[in-house]
Amino acid sequence: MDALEQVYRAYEGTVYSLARRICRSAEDAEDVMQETFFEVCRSIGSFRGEGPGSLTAWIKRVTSSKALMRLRREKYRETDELVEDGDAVARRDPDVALTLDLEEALGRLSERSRAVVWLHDVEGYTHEDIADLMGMTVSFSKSQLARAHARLKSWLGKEQ
Amino acid sequence: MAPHCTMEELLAVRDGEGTSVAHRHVDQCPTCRAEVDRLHQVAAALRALPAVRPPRDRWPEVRAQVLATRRRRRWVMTGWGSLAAAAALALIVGVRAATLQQAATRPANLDSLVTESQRLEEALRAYDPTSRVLSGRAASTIAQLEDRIALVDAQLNEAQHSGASKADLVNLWQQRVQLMNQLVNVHVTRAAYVGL
Repeated sequence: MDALEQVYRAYEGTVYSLARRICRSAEDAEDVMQETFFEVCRSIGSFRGEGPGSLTAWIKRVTSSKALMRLRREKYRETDELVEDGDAVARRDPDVALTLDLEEALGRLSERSRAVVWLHDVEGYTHEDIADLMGMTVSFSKSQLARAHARLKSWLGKEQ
Repeated sequence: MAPHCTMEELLAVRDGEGTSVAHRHVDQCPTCRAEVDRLHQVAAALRALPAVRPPRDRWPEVRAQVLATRRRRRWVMTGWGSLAAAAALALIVGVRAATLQQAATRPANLDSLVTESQRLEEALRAYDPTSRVLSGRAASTIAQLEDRIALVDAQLNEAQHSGASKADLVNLWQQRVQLMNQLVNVHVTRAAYVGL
């Protein structure tokens, strides 16, 4: 178990960060982290990594899969952004709305939009990968990314 | 000039994909080129967001889950393999039970009870109970039996020093043999369960 604990300690930040970007709440992200490491510990014997970074890529893939599975279980809680947050921003002074930072804007996206943005733009997954992970089509992934960027643009303003 | 690119087309151009028509348009249109640059900046800003640290250490939960699964898997893997061993042990236990039944019908003899108790002690040592992983339930049963044996031993010690009657000693040795027998049975069953 010592070796597995070392893997946990080395990757807990990476796994939690990725899970937190996809999941709505910190609690969900913690659960995803636990599920991920359980899966990693269970399957690490059959992992055949080739080249540097392959373990990281595999662990991230498990994390994404677990987080997206959780989203699917929750039926996506379909809203494109939190209504209360949207109202709050609309009531603000327009200049204040323009200063909405990227972190906050990202948090306002729906879970699946945020997942697509993060997996594509940050983790470097292709639309084919995302479609496969989410059980959707490639065109769904592309249109989600486009919609998400249009929303981010409107929330962040031209000055971001 | 052709109409501006859609967001989907701009993203495709940013990612080095997209149609040749879209690429040509971006090359010629300052508005769309600026938009592609902006999308590059957004991606760079996203990548630059700080990592988030987990608020709690979940390793104890993960470890417990992994250990529990390993125990379950070990049981499943040894379950089939130990069927023959279990059958053989069942035969041994059955024969011993029949022997004990016969012994119970005979008048109790102090020397034979002491001998039987020693034989059971030997049998218990053969199972090497201290090296086995036990379920909580088995461990609890064993602890209760061992406590009761320790109590009988204390009573025997007291009886021998206080000059108790032979009938009292026979009674205590009978109790000890009975408890020892139960203790060995728990270990035999447990050994069959995990494939020896």
